[in-house]
Amino acid sequence: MSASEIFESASKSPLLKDPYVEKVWNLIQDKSLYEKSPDHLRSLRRSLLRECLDFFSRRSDYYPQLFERLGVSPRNAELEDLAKLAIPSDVLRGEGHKQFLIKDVDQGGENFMSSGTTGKEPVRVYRSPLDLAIMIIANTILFEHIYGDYLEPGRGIALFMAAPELRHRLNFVAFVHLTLENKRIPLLYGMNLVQSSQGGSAWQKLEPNKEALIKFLKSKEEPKLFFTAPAGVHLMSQRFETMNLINRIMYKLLTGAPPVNLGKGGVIVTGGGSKGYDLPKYDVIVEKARRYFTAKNKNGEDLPVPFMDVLGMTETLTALIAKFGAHGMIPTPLTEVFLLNPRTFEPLEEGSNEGVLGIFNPFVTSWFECFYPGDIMQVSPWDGYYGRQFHYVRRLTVEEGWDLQRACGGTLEELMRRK
Amino acid sequence: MRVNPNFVGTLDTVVRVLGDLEVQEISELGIQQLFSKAPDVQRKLSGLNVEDRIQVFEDMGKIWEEKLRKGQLNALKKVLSGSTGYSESLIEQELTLVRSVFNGESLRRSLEASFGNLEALLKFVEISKGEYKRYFPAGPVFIISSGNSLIPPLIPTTISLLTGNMTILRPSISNYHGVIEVYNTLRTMNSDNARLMSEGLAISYFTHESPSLRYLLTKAKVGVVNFWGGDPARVEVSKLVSENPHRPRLIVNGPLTGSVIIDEVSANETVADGLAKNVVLYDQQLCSSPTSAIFIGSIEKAKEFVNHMAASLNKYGSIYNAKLSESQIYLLQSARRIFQIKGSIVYSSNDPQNMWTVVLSKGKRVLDEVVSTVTGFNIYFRRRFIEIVVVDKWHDAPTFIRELPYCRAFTGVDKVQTVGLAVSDEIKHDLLEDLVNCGVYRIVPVADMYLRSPLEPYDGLNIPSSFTYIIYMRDRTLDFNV
Repeated sequence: MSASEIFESASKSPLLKDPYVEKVWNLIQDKSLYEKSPDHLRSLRRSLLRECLDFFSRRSDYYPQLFERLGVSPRNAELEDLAKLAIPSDVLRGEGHKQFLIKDVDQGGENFMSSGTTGKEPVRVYRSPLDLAIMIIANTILFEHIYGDYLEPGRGIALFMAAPELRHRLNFVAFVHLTLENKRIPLLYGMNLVQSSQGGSAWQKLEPNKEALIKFLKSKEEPKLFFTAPAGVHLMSQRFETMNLINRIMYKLLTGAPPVNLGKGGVIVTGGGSKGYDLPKYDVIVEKARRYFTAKNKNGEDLPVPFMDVLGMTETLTALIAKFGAHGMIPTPLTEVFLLNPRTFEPLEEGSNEGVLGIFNPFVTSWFECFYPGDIMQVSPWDGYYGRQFHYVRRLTVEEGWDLQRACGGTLEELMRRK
Repeated sequence: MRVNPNFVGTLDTVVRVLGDLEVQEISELGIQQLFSKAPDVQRKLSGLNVEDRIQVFEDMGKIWEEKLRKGQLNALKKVLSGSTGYSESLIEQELTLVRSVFNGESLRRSLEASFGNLEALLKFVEISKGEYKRYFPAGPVFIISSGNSLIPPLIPTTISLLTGNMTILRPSISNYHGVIEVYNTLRTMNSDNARLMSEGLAISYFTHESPSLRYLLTKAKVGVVNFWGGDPARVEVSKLVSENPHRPRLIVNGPLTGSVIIDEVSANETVADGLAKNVVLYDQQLCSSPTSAIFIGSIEKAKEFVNHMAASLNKYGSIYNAKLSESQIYLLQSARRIFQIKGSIVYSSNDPQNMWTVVLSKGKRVLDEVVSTVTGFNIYFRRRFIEIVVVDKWHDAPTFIRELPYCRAFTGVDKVQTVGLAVSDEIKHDLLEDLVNCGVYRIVPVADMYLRSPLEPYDGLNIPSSFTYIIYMRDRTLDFNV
């Protein structure tokens, strides 16, 4: 579906007649929320939580029973109750998401999946057209707020170091694609998905799309928006760094780079994990990249190329975005980001600043989107609208049990280990 | 970590390194040296009066008890707590139980349960007019023992020696130092009989790729291989043993588990306390540990029962601490939430030293769905966790026992070994008949599922019988004309 088709389909959703959905539909478009105080927004989110619980109680047989079992009352729920309601993302693997969808969920949406790099069945989440429309609007406003400027429709060019086929699979790619499409900003995909074979079995791999890369590098459009995994920009920087003089001259003649001039408003937006690479810390990646990528501010003055880092996952409709050197990860004003005590999985106590990340998106209309993906984050004060900023610490890894086995089957232990 | 073999005299050894594990093990040549003495050692051992054999272990138990009393085993407690993951208080209990394993009266009763007249271990005894039998060691016996606690390796090893077998014991890494310490007592005893027993025992760890292990299983003149454990090691060992031209007897004690059936009439505080104790002890790593339960009755009564259990779980859990890592807690908390999502009632503790979980599910086992989602929450991972399925009729209970081995949540377990039973007399008889047909090996009270009587067979078999063969002798012709 294109962005316009999504909006058209969303506008026909019967859910828009529901007062709660109508309310969140208006709220997600309200840019003034970004000017409100953290206290005001917290109060708004608490009221939204109660209305959201009520909405899902009305729209599903499953949720009222769940809320009752957990002792959560829609009428007087507090944000602390989210700790009880958050589900582990693992539940959403395979067909797991279906059980959470409301009755008569809007059809004609899209399914997004996690990359499946863990070797398990991927997390798969259905997004109705209305939710997709909310995704485009909410993420665009958040992106522009963090970016610090309005993205003029039809101006600039973007390169995404991903393959176009991933637009229909990965949430982050879809969000970038649809947002830019909605803004009529051309998006080039810097990778191709190619069939290959190894040991007789067919598999797919990503290869650079040189044509798209050269087109982006040579383009005079401004701003240039470069979306990539941290590994992508790091590998490019490394390549420039290790080029001999002849290669450098030839590359320069062919592409005009290095340096890669992103022009006025140019930005590098990173997202995703290490993609299997052993990467240096983010600030090292940024420091090195700034030797080979340049950008200017609105007035045409040189500035270190801005970096934004997106924390998005399949199961969240909207992302958290950090701006390097300015602040950590920030969600939309309506998103409740909370940390759980890693031991008790209850709300983090006063004075603690590190815990298991939980996310609640009250504007999602198809399911009660409150989950924890298994990441440890730190929280610290922030002087912006959200009042708090978040920093990624690490992912929780899970021992699968073999190493723990010492029961009757614990003999010949080394045979049982799978390291 | 380094492990050294333990034997009498001189045997060739070799050092193998496996990651951070350095293993000095008996080499192929060493095994040949050991086995060359086997016929003589077994002849001498089986020539000993049975009471004298038992006395050696009785004395050994007393020495062990004294060592424990004097605090000479305090360092071992720490070592075993580290290698097994059990709390020091549980290890202390384990060390105390060693004395009971070597109790003379228990050993005698165990042998009598298998052989009847113990004289038959020494000489031919008449079983009918002119017909005789004699039990003879089937060894040498090679025991690959389990690692779930210290006691299980001691039982087959001791019985093997008592029945006159040269015995090679390969303990698990987790209990290796404990096993060595126990039989070191035998090495230091100052009697001819103890020295003879000591000569008949060699203890060595073998890495799974060890040529010595391969030699032992495929070529050595071993009479019995007794393997305690599950797959894939069990399959490997079975394949290798089948290659051995000496056709050793393979006795496998596979991974088993325990289950509990309670009806609401019997669901009192005592039963709740007993179940809680068995859930906490050994963190459910014994083949008899209750890892699932069926409650026959109403959900309200089941809730009352769990409330009683909760108090006892807190009580026992505070005695036997168990600490989980951050990632283990993550897995556990996720599993608990999925149970709630699926409609089960979750009772739990977030005490970092005692994170127990009791789940009440109505009518069906929800654990399978949870394990399908959180695959790491498997039988090896789960500790201090039990799902109690509440059913209306007692007829529904045996199905859960019968189907358990085929459930995803119990992958790796062969079947239910022990059923802890607390039901009213009204249904007991019929339920017992059904349970017999489910293939279980033990049906015992809930309170002491973890304890074994000396008379009990092991997993449906008498171990002493497995380590011997019967020689039949007749000195008269039969009254039968062709």
